Amino acid sequence: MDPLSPLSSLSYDVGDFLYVIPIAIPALFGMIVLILDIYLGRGSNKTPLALTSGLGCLLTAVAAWALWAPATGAPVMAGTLAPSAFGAVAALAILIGTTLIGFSVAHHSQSADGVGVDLGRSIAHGELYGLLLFATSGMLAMTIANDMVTFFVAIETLSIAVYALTGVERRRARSAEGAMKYFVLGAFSAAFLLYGMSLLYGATGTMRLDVLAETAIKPSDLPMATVGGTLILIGLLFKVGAVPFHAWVPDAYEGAPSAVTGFMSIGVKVAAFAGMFRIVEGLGACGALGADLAGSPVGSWVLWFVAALTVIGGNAGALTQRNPRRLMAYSGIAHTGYLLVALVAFTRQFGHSSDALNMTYAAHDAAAGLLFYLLAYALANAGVFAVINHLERRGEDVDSLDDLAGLAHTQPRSALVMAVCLLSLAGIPGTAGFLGKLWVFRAGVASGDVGLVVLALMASAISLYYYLRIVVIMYMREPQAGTAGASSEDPQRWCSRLAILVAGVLTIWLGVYPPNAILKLVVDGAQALVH
Amino acid sequence: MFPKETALLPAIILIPLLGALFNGLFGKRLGKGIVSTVAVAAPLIAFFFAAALFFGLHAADHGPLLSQTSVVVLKAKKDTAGSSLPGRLNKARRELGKRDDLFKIPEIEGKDRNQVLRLVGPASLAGDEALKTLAHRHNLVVAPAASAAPRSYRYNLGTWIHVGNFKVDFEFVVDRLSIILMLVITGVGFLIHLYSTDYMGAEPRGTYARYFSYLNLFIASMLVLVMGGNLLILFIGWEGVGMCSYLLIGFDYEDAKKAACGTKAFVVNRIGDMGVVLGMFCLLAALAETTAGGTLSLNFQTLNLALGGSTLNAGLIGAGCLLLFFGCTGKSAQIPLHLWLPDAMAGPTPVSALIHAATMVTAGIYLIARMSPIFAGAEVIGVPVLGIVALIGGLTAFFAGAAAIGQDDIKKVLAYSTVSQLGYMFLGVGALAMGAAVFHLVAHAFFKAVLFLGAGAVIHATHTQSMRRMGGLKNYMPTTYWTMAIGALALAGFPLLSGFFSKDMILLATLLRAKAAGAHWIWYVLYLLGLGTGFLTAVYSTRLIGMTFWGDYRGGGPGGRHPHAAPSAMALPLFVLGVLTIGAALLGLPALAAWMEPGAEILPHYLAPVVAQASDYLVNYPAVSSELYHRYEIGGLLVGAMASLFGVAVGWKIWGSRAPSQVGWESQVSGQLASIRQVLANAWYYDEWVNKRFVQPAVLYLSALLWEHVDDNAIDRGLVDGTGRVAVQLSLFTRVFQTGHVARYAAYFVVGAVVILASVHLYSI
Amino acid sequence: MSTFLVLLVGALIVVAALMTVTQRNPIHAALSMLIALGGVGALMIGLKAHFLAAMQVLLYGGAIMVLFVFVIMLLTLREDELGPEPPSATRLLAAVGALALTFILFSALSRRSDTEFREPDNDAKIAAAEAKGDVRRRTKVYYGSTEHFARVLYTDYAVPFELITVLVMAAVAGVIVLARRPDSMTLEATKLMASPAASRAASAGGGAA
Repeated sequence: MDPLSPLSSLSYDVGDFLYVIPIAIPALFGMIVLILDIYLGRGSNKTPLALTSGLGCLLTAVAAWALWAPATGAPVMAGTLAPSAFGAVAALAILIGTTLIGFSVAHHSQSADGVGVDLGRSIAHGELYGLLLFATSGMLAMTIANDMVTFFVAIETLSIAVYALTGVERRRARSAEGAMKYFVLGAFSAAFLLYGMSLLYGATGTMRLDVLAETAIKPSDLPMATVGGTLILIGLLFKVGAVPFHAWVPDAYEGAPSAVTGFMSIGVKVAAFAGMFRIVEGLGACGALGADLAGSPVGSWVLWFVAALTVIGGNAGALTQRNPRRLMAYSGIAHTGYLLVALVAFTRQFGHSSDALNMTYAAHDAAAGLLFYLLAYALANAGVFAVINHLERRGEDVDSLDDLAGLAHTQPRSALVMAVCLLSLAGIPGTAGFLGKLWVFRAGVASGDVGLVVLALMASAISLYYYLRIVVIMYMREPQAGTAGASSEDPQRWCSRLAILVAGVLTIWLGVYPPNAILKLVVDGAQALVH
Repeated sequence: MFPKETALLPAIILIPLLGALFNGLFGKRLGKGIVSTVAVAAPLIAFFFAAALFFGLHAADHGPLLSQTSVVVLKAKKDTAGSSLPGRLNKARRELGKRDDLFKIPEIEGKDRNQVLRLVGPASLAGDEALKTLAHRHNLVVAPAASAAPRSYRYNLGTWIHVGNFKVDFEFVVDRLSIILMLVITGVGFLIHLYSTDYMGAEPRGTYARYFSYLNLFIASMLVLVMGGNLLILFIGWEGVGMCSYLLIGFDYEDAKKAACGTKAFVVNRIGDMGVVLGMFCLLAALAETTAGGTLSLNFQTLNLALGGSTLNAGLIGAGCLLLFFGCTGKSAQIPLHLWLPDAMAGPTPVSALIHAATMVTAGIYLIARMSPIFAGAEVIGVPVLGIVALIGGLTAFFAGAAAIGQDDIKKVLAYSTVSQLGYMFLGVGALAMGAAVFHLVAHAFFKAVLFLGAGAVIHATHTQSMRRMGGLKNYMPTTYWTMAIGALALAGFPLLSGFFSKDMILLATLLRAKAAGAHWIWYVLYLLGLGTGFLTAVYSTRLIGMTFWGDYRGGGPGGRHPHAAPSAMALPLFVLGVLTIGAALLGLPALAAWMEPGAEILPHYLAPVVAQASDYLVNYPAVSSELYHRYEIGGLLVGAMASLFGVAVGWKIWGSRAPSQVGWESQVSGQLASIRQVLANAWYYDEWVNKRFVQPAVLYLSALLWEHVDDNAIDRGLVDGTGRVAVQLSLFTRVFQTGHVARYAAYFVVGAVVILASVHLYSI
Repeated sequence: MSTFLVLLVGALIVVAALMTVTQRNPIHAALSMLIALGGVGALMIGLKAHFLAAMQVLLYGGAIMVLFVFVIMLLTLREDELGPEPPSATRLLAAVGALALTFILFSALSRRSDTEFREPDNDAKIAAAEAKGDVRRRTKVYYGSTEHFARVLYTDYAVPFELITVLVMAAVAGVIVLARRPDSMTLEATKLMASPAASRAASAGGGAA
């Protein structure tokens, strides 16, 4: 290469840019959608936008599978990215959320009779899809970020987009309120995250996670690194909605339109968990998770307590909720708790325990379990919110579980998918959620956290109550006059019906006979993270 | 590698199973013709397959042995000097103890326990080079053990359970013992299916299909029971037949009484099944110690070889055998669990014939025969388990036989008779006359099926089960009369019929057992009990025929219809079974002639290699000389014949001469006779006693305790509601935090962050 | 930069930051924040990050502060519009929390043995590059200098840099969503016009807003 060419000043191979493609496609399509919206005009049918963003997501998924899945997790782009199958699976889960949620709101701009146009309720304008796609871009970057700067920029990209999405329905005060709370607290947590990163940099002199993992920190610097690492963990625990950093979740989920809630509950959580595992891998390896306590770093014991509080708090909170979005918010917190069980199992490998080999196996299981669980969770949540979106038209909110009464009689297919997805969230065998839980809890048992797993199992037994209550309401109660459930189907909503169908079918498919390609990808992903 | 016939093993089970499935799923929509064709064809095909296997086994016995297990002995080389033989054997034994592929720790056997070292291990043991080297080093040679099992068919569907060193295969084995039972099950089963097509002909289509579906399922379960290669597979069949029995007793489930009878049978059987499960655990535990780390399986062959006569863990083995026998008392209706069988007569009569007389109830006999090598040596605190078996059998035989005399319901007579005959079989088993017991089993299957099917025809004709309202049927249904008369005579042990020989064989075995050196005097009592039972049997058999067929017809009342003869589909099985009842005698013609060896009877001889023999296990069993044996044999036959004939004569005297003209004269007898009759009619008040002592207290106290206190208060209110309440309280508590104030939320954040940071930091520095 | 100066500027920043959160008057709070931001800029100069210091002053002290002040002045909030004070319990909690955090951070950072600031040594790298005939580092690049910053930003940190453009796009789109004309007005307008063509015209107008 010509030494004077601009490319020659790069310290990495130009081919590395290939790995950026899956991050770039959603951003590109976000802009395309924004432009396309201008030509469509306001109040028109926004199905083309859904289709365009769906195409973008599909391309991204293909690119992620083709480019990231074969990569080994070695750093590229001067160490800012580390693509691997781990990122590919997380990307798939995120894209499931974006696509299905995007499809399920395509009809929102259209009023029921197709004559009038209800702009007030219309959230499906170009900006919605644009923001969804920009956020997706940030999420994807987060799953393979290998550098804390990249990581932080990615997390802020998705956060800014999601803050705006939360407040997208300006007419409702709750939407604005939720967005404001989420923004203020989000900024608060970002400060923790950033401060932690700077302390960690101060202690180790590197921003790169792979370098961090191999850094031997001087004993005198270790407290600083530990505090920095803990601050980062706190910032991320906020993002995933772990107790006691969960207070924003119910308010933000309730305030946001159902579509955005669905997207938040999937994308943000998947990206945050993927990022958290990658960061924890670095933190743990360099000893920034604290000194050893009974064979594992004290940080993992702290996570143990956070996980316990989260499964209890999430499930207990959901028990008495009547608003479906608030219920799903607590349900999301509960699932954070289950995934934190995997994180605890994952962190056990960093201690100086006597059976280090077993702990490595447990960590491998935990990472694989996390990935499968994220896929299952994304599908199930997408299904639930797709059905809720499907019902929320003509300005009718699904603000109470009673609005779902008799859904099985008026819309049997939607009700069936909703039931399947709820059962998957509850972890009933035959659904993807069961296998996910099984995998994660197995990791917990393998790492010796039997008590935590028992607690999580008991909590998930409680969760059956509120999930099944919805099923009971749908199947055993008479439909109320004039509720969303009573409205007839109309042919223009094939987009949302497709989303519902896909979520239901995939949930069962992954639960009954998970395809080998997916399982291999999941195991490869875990392999890339745990050597 | 495997003989072609092996494929028949799964097929034999599959065919009735498919029949059951077909009729269960589609039978309702199809005509009765198709349903009955499928249902009848299934056991018939299975019978042909079983027959093919029987001849295959016969042919294969002349071929090489195909066995998973081999037994070899190490014995002294000829004319060797050096250290003493016991010392060398002991050294070899210590060295061999380190091998983990042996099924049991090697034992020194022979006269004074110092002649040979007996090894039980995998089939490769005989040609094992290491073993030969070891033997050579100690101046010993490897020789195959004297007794080797005859060939069996084995079909392994694959490993079912494999946990650690515990491994259970889904395997089926057909050997001489199981093939006999298979032939009986499918053969008698076929005839009863055929009979049922007419007997149940009046039922609506759905019920008809359901009936045959259950019946086929029963055949399949019973086949699983006798073909199972290990205890666990046997247990599948064991539970399967229990379930079918329950379904068929309560077949007419809309009648609450009959449904209750089904429940009773099921519950009592479950109590016994618990014994089987616990017994299985005990034997497994014993095996675990015997094999010391080797592979554990519940395979019969392994269990028999490893635990048979083992002195290690004698307590566990004894307890296991006793528990298994407890299970047998449930399934085979022996004291103390016999009380369900008379109630099982609530089911359709062909069901009683098939399940509650011919096949299922004999499962207990089969189990003990199957595991006879273990049972033979098992002792519980010094008492041989087989002694207990014989005692229970003898007592059951006598008391149930007496109870049969007091019954008016024709099926109840037969039910108590069945209990009594099963007691006979256990007596035989207890005396280690496995062959005799199985012979009685086969003969009993034939004649009791005849009697039940005949009774069914009678009930079909008169629409009543009470013998008081029968009588004089000889003229209306001659075929039924003659076949039933043959059956009853066989049951009574009338000379030269099958029952005569089979009973005699059992009694002879008991007598010989009593003659054994050091045998307990109780064996004489048991012999007398058996003899007495023979007399009682003859009495009630005669009474049955007399009350039903002799004299004048008492039923119908004024203008009542006269009973009709049995239709052909019902008559044909009766006829065939009648012939079989007579023919079965050939299987056990006694070894009377002086040139015949003791135990040379056809069936016992056939079974001898697969069941434990008295001479193998009882050291003190008298070496009965041929001469002495023949003397006992002839004497026993004469005594047995006398008891039987006397019984028939008494019956003839009472019921043959004066009863027929009067309706229910029995109820008019007075004084002591009446109270005896009352006791017998109520079967010694055992039901009432159990009810008062066990069932009612259980209902009153235990069930009240479990239901009101444990279930209602503790579980429902405490655990279920309590969990719910705690969860709801917790849920309401979480709401307290959701104030909506963003500053408050930030405060939680800070508190959480400080706690986490402080704990990590303060611990780490 | 001497330790004395660092401590002085640090104290200034802390006091100014505290005033930012405690002042009731928004303008006062904003001005206190300006002082704090300026103090951070001074610290950056002390660390030889001249470019960053300049950016800090230009962006925060200039653009962002001006925006804040404008918004505050446009809103002309009166005392009663500022909303209630947070409950005293919350404030107490915040104070305790802040103190505890301070203690923990002090405890962690004070354990460092080596607090001397050292510029990363690039000389060896440059010499090695020149020996290989690599021309791109012919001039000595000082750590923290604009050139060094630019070099790293546009090469090694290309991904986060480009990602920031996505972030900004998202922010712009978000602002459009949040700041569009209230829907109640468009709703009324649509009801009046009730024809697709008219609504399209209306939406074009809305989009411009």
